[in-house]
Parts: sequence; structure tokens; C-alpha cells
Amino acid sequence: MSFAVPDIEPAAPVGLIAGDWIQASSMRSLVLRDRFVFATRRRLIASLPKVVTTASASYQVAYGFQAKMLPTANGIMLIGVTASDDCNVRVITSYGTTALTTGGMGCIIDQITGIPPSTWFGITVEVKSNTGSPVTIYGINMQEQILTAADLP
Amino acid sequence: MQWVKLDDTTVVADQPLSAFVGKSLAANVNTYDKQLTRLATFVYPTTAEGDAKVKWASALDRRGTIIVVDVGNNAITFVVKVFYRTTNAAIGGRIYVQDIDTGWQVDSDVPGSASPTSIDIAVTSSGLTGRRAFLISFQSDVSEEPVGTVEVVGGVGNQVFCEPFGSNYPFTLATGYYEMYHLISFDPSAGNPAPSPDALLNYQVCAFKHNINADRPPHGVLVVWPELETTPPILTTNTTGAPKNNANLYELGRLELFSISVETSWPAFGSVRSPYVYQQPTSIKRISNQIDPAMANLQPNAGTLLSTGGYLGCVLPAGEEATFAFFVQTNKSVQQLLVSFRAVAYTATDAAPDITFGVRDFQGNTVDNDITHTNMPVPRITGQITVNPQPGTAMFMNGVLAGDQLWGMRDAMPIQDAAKGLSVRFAWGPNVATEIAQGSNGTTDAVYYGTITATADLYIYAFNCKVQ
Repeated sequence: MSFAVPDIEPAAPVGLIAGDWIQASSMRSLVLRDRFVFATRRRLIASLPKVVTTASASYQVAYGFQAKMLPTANGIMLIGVTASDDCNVRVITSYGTTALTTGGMGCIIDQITGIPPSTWFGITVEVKSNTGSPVTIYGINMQEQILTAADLP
Repeated sequence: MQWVKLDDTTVVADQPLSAFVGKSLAANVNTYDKQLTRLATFVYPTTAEGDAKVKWASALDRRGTIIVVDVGNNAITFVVKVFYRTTNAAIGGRIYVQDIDTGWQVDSDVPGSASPTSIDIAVTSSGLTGRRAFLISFQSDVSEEPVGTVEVVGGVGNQVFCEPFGSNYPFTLATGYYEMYHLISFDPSAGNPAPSPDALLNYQVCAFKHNINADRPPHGVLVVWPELETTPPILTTNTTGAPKNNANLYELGRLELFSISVETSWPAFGSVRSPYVYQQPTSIKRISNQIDPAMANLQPNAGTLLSTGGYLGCVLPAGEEATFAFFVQTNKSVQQLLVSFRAVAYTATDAAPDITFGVRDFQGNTVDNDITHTNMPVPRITGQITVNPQPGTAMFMNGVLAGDQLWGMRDAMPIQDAAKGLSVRFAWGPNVATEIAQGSNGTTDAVYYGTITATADLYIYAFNCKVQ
């Protein structure tokens, strides 16, 4: 037996009544809802407030903090950034580093993999402008990646 | 990964299909307390070199900020982790965590530390659900010995006029205003200011200004908190007279704050007895009833903090934007954004501003319609700029009015001031015209940002944005 993690929240089962027999469709709905909750209720690692870079083309530290993933995380942290112009956001952990480039006004999502679950780890966030002028980064959002069917046992 | 696999290993002989599925579901639900615990992290901006901008010292009482934590479903245990260092490795303080609604609180020593470190404060409470507000406050330890002495000439309001005791001040001079984190002790009985019922009066020194112009005196100005006693005054307002008395300066423990995290968990559901669930059809219903709250209460937040560099909260001048970024990984999860914060005004330009919330896409385009609350009765908080503070005004915005982010204390507030902020709420959605794109690795169009603007200068704190 295998089930995919639903893309959309499954509807609640209806018609459950006392008795020895439960309609297969209702039971399947319960299973899918359980899968959906478990796979999608991941942690928001951090929501970093707005920061304005300097005009410098060199990285400057913007944030330094600690975070921890759920014990059932798949070790992948997604990082999303949106900015007013071309800039870089570099996220550094002891398990990996990634640099996000917006390439202009826009956004991008990148990831760091291999982060051990249920373990506090340090995150340093650095930013720099790629335009020679200060760039407004409207925010940086970090989340655990939601699970897929492949992540589930 | 501890999630229970739905296969033949969980079935008991002769169980109907629905029974072993139900049994497995019950087992899953009973592990949510450990496997889906919540964590809210509040991250404060640093300097370009990675030093903390929020520097937090409080001598006379505990002062801090409100954070809003989406605790999940019926949470009973909380661990508050404060990631910090102290300016003086030998002086720390004490930190307090207080639930605004129920009033319970816990506290913990904050040891001095030269390098970034963290302390954990564990709390056990009755079950809490949804968004909860906690006051995180700090009170400094004071150095046992004074770090030096100044000669006090006079004082008015939040200014103490002084000159060096001997040839030098007990601190390094610099240009303009600069930050201090000290305690100054007056002994009026030893000098010639007007009498005071208190033999010894203590004030926190937040900043110092060295007057280098020819038109001095005063030679130096200590900016203190709270304002000087005026009835009767403990110091004359004379800036030119001979020094009247000496005052000792002590150093305060000062927290340099990087982040605060709150991890919550809740009791095991437990009420579903797995071995018998297939014999008790009502327990199947109970499973459904436990999955349903998990749908909403465990939904990730979109944002937890608005903060201006150097402040615990967000200074929002009129016409400017406070923003936070978010993306969603499931399309169901963007039906509604619930935004909440508290606001005070720190200037008298407009006592009833309009406050607007909106959502922008990656190109800055407006998504759906902005929501505006008009004529909001935002209370005004008066900083320390007057000789006679008005009754009921607060002083937690010290430094903001001067526009100088080098002042100490800044926006740390006592709980009575925290309660003054107007609660502002927006419900964006659920029937938005433009579908929110789902975000995944490599996506270049799915990070959105929320924007808050106002027609008056506001200070915002206790921010939270929940996805519904």
C-alpha cells in the first residue's frame, strides 16, 4: 500500500458513524489527511526582517542566529528572498552554504541540504549589492522543506 | 524518521482493512507531540561585522519587548532560548518570560559572556493554543565597584550636566552623542541641590554628549533614564555654576541580542487507544477530530518579527514600508493571511493614522487588494524630551525622537507600557483574485512580501503573520 502526499488539503471524511464497518473512502480520506498534516506542517525556521544593503560589492553580515529542525525533517532548508534590485544573499551553516542572486528586482528560492534534524545549528546571513547602490531586501524566509512520499517510510 | 508505515506489519490477524489503517493512524496521531513541535525564532539585525545591534540594559526595573508565538495546539511546555553575548564578560543580569494573558512568569540568570552563547528557560503551563503574547524582559546586574566619578553641575529633564572629576572622565570621549550603559548615583545630602526624601538616587545613563564648542558649558551631558526628580528637584538647572557634588558611575550588564527562539510541545494525544481502535468506531471519529486541529493549529507562520536595526521592534516613519517575505509550499496554505501587531505613535503629527496592509509579488505588483484601517486610535508614547513628563506617558522610546540609534535602552519597555499599544489586525484573503504560486527549490516567482504602511510615524511590536 502506498499513498502520495496530497498537493491540496484533503477534504474531511463525512458520514462516519458508529459500527464495525467504515466506508473505504472515509478511511482513505483520513489517511490522506494524516499524511498531509505530517508532510506539510513543517517549521518556519526564521522570518528575517527587511534589510538594506550598503553600496559595497562585498558581503556584509546581516543576521546571526540559531535554529533547529523538527525531528522528522528531511534535512533540507529552503531559503526565499525577494529584493528591489540585484543583490546576493549568502546563507552559511556548518552543513553547507548557498548564495542566492536575485538578478534584478525579483526573488529566488534556494536550499541547503544535509542539516541534521532536532539539532541546534548556527546560521549566518550575509548580503551584498550587485548594483553599486543600496538594495532593499524586503525579507528573507527560511522554512523546512515539506516532505514528499519518498521521505515517508 | 519515526512515522509509522502503513503496511501489513501493523495489522492484527483477522482485522478488517479499516482496522489496521485506523490503528496506524492512531499511532501517528499519538506521536505528533514529539514530531511536529513548533518553533518560533525572532532574529534581530546585526552590524556589518556580525555584532548585535540590539543592546539591552536596564538598571531600575526589567524592561523588554513582546513577542507573539504561535504555540500550536494545547501546548504545555515551552523552552525559550536567548542567543546573546554581554558587553562586559563579567556582568550579566536576569531575564524574565511572562505570559501576557495568564500572568505566569519564569526567570533565569543571564551569565556574562564575551562570546555568543545561549541560555534556555523552560516553562510548563496549562495548555495554550494559537497565538500567544509573551513579554521578554531583562534587568541588568550592576558592577560591585564604581568605574569612576564625575562632577555634577546641574540637571534638567533627562539631562545631567557634568565635568570631569579630576582631569578626565572615567570613559573615552568621542564626538557627538554616544551610547553608555551605566548607573549614576546621586547623594543629594552631600551636595547642595534641593533636598530629596531619598538619600541616594540612581539613574540609568543611556548616552553622553561631549560639548566641544566654545559656547560650552555644560562640558558634558549625561542622558539619563528616567527623568530627574523635579518635585523637589535633586539638581539645580544651572549649567554654569561650580560643581555641586560628585556622582559615581557603575557599569551595567548589557545584553547584546542576536535571537530569541521559543520551542513548544504539547501532551501526547493519548486518548486514542491504538490496540482497540478497530473495535471502537467512535475512536476513528476521534482520530479525525485530532487531525483537524492539527490542520490549522500547526500551519506554519509566514512571519514572526518586524524589527529596525538596533530596535526590538520596528520604527515605521509615515509613508515608508515595513516588510516581511514569505513563500508557501502548499496551495491550500495561502487562503488567508492573519496579520497582527501592536502600534504606538511617537510623534504628535497625527493621532489617528490610516494603516494599510498589502501583499506584493516578486515584481512589486499588488496582489489582490490592499486593506486599510482608517483613523486608527493609536496612542502616543512620549519620549524623554520634556522636563515634566505627562501623566500616563511612557518613556520606552528613548532615543527614537532624536533619530540617533546610538542611544542605549531604545525601545525596551515595561509591561505597563507594552499594554498601551493599539492592537491592529488584518485578515487578507481568503478569496484572493490572484493565485499565490507555490515555492520550491529554484523557484523565481514565488517569494512574496507583505507590506505595512501608515500615515503617521509608528512604532510596531508584537508582530505576527499567520497563514490560515
